[in-house]
Amino acid sequence: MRRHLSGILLIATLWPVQAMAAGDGKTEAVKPASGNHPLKELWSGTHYSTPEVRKLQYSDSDNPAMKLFGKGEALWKKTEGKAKKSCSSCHGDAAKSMKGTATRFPAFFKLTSRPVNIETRINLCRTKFMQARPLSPESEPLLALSIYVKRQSKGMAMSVTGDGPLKSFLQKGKDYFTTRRGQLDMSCSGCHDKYAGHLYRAVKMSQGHANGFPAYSQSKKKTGSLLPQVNQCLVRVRATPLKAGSEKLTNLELYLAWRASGLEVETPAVRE
Amino acid sequence: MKTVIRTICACAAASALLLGASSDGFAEHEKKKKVRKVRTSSACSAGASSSLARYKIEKGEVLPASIPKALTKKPGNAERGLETAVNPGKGNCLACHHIAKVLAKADKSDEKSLKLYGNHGEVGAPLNGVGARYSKAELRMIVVDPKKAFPDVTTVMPAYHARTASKDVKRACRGRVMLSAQSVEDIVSFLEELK
Ligand code: HEC
Ligand code: HEC
Repeated sequence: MRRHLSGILLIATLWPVQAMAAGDGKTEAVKPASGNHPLKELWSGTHYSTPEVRKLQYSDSDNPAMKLFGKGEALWKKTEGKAKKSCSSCHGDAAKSMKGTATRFPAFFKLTSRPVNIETRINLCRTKFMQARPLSPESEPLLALSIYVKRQSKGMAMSVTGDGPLKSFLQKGKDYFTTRRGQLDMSCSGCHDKYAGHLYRAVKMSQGHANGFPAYSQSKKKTGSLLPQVNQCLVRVRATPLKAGSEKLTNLELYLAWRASGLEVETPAVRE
Repeated sequence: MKTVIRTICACAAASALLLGASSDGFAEHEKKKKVRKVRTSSACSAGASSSLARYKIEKGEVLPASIPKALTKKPGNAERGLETAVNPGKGNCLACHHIAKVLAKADKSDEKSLKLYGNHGEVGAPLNGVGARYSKAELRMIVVDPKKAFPDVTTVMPAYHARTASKDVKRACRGRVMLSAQSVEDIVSFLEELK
């Protein structure tokens, strides 16, 4: 793997810079879409990765999370549940129907009168329309479908305005992000707004964006949604973790999506 | 980046001097803390319970506040203080601070040693020379409750021996302080020697 990688590295360094850019995740700063944004410029988490990790993320064949993309493609077409339907019976070709979806999520879901993230939306489609059992959080099939759907928006800019019915939920997410919690009495913004780019026990702290999730973690040797990442941060400050599908998580995810608007969807990212 | 942090700290120190010059509104810092039962442990998993020490806050020389009297009768042990400061489940000071004396302890040929003594942060200023910059009483205040020690009450540095009104504290940590009074004294002795 390592040797293979350095081969790619060599080719990539000889290649013109332009070949790396389009759709491969911006590592340049982007201006935030909204005026009242806590950050002056947005940097994707990929910007703070090592060049090796970045190359791994950009390579469809070497990115470990891309295995799940293939599994997601198969699941998309698989008939399940009492209604004898698959995702594709309603949505057809994901390359067309799911293009841009990840840029708009979490989105308001009328039937439940609250915003839902992609994972919850997939499970709502399963239970309500396919009459199939919901997939459990962090399970391989749910991560696979989530990656498959989000990947259809690869390279497109996140675009969540949080207007209309989303407004109050966005505010709750912002409150969660800026409120100090845990025994260490620290907030998400205390680290990611204030100290991005600084080392935190030898780890480069990013701006804490969610545009690359689900992502593969090299240290955990596992692909995970945003939830385990946020919970790792919460453990760090000795706070109670969030639950999958909970309102708190969805509101937080909504705020993170608003905060990252302008950055490209990079799912699935690779992180150390 | 490091220069930026230093500048911030220099500003903090400068405004501290200004604040220190006027004794206005200082009386409120003088109020005595009542003894409260709180437990302490490493990462809150297990460990002996202890109480929050009684301490009196007074005006500092460079900082707005200080704690002149030791929290314990037993004097602090600098060597133990260093180990408590680097331990990720205890002080974890290295998460945010660079300390040259600790880095010198990192054995490059030993992965464990390198991980424990070699991984530093840069959220706060490097702690080299803090023993010369602050009095022992101020260093004690910084470790006990930095929101009272620094002029900037929004500091991200956690309070190691104070009751905070923080939300969503992990169950195992509720009602506990981060470090025992003795550990605080150990760390203060360690900081005092960083001249
Ligand atoms: C004590 C400091 C600290 C706090 C508080 C904190 N984080 Fe983090 N966070 C980190 C570090 C260190 C990392 C790993 C390096 C990185 O990717 O930024 C990280 C990573 C992340 C990432 C992954 C970013 C990426 O591109 O891979 C997200 C998302 C995130 N944090 C969100 C949050 C949220 C939401 C909160 C509050 C619930 C929070 N963080 C609180 C330190 C913190
Ligand atoms: C989560 C981050 C964080 C942790 C953990 C942390 N600190 Fe700090 N510390 C800071 C910041 C930030 C400052 C700068 C002061 C401010 O915010 O106004 C600081 C300042 C200080 C200063 C004053 C430095 C100077 O030159 O002005 C001392 C001394 C200090 N810390 C000691 C410690 C010790 C000892 C520990 C562990 C027991 C510790 N810190 C843990 C963030 C942290």
